[in-house]
Amino acid sequence: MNDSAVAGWRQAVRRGELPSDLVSLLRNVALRMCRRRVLPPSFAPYGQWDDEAGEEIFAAWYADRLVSPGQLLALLDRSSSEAALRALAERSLRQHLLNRADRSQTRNLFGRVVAVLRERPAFVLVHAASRPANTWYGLRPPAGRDDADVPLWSGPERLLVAHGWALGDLAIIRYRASAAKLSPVLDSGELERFITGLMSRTNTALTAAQIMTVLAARLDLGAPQTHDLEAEPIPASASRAPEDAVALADTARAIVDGLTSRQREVLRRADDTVASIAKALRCSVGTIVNERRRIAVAVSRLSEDEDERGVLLNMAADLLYPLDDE
Amino acid sequence: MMSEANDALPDIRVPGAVGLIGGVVDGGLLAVVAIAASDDAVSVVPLSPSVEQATEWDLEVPLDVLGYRAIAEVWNYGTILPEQCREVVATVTPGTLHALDQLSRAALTGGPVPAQLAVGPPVLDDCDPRLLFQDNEADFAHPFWEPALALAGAATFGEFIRHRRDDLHLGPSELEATAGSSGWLADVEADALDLRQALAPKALARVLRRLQVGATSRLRAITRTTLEGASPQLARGVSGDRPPTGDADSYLDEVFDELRKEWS
Repeated sequence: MNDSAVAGWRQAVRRGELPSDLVSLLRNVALRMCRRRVLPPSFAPYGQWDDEAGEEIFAAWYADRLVSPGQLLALLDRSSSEAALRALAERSLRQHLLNRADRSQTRNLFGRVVAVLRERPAFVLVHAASRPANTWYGLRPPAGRDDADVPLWSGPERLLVAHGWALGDLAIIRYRASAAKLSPVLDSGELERFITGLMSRTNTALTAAQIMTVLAARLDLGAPQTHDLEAEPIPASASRAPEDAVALADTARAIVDGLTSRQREVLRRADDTVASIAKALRCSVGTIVNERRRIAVAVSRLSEDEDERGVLLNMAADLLYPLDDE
Repeated sequence: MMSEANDALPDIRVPGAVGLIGGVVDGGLLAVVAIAASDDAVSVVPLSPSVEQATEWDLEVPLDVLGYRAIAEVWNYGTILPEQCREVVATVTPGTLHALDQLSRAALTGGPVPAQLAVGPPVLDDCDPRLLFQDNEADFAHPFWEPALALAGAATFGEFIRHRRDDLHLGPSELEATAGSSGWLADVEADALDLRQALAPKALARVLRRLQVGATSRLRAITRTTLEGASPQLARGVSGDRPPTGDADSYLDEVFDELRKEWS
């Protein structure tokens, strides 16, 4: 591999230049990903992966993620060869597409947070404000205890974010794998669990703006959007069409493609005990548990609900079974 | 995987230097910042662009250092050999180096995170997903510590071979086959055999390649010390009748030249 070419590109980019052969390599990464269909068609700009879609996602990836925030240099700094750069670039593009779709949901997410706080019986208004974003809600206290007993959060934002991280894995924004068009789904149950957990951990009342700050950090959404919106209805799920089976298969392949070799092996051995997988892969039980969590998060992100998640997980595992026969 | 020659090395041995290092296999590069150094080893902290994953043990590194925002993963520190450095790309400011030093000392001594440092939110629970990220990062960084770990605790070449073979689960016959001859390994591991008579330079280079080590000054120093310590009584070849050939330095020059060729 041409190690010196990568070193040359690295130095050029650090000087503020953008070598044309480097740009060409990155464009090829995007086009190749489209041809290989490494993400579900729902993530394509027009619902299908072709060269036009490739050019479009390349342009957005290049402008939004690579150049201005300096992520191209970060990729080059971790690449020892062109092959390594291609692999890292592919991962970066995949992350960009997922993240872009997530960020498109921040407006809806704020509306949903406000709706959950207003409508769910688990929560109670503690302190009114002129804007929904600044209205304080707390967990409904046990009978006999006054709502006013709930203190308002007054700690640093950093600590509140830490409590948000402490709630564990989170899949609030999910995607219908079987949809022909991008169809993000905000999981209200998961969102309520998260807000309840946050209030319970801090034992305080919180505002929607504070909750959005924590969600933005957890979901890497950028600056939280807290417009004064009414909760927008989320379109009901369409019934599953015959062509959705193809989309599901594409999604399962995309999931497998995004796993590391160890994660694939863990998934392939899904029916084995954790201890036996750990022994076979020469790593600790904790590592296998962690790998299973990573796989679960990856599958949850691309499935609308638990039923679809189960279907996708089985399809992904099935894709790995032929390895047994080799 | 290692740099070609000492005189061509960028100086990663200066605390605060930010370098890109290679490992023993082609697993990419790792950006690190040096926090302490001796002649043949450097303590470093890995740098990651995944700033959203910062915990209280990750120091934020300003944008102007690398050209992108990064975190210094103090919890993930390790030791490298200077030869692993491919390129020094930046230097952190004295203020950042001081903060890094404070946080590293706290991590090493089990103390609290010093106040006023630009670090991430603390980890409050074992189910925090950032711990999964840390697990990944530790896995990624480990191969970069291998060259120094492979030589750690070995006072002689024999010890080094024994430890390394054990680390890699390599059987004696497998390693001997790499050299193309047999019957020498047990004596070499016991430091009871003069390497120069047991293995030609090319054969030894193949053995070292199989043990996944590069041409480093620390390996050379250990090997040289062992060669010089080999007494005439112990200096017997596999066949038992070959006289010692050449001095230690010229033999090692040949071995290391060959090793560099094989790794390039």
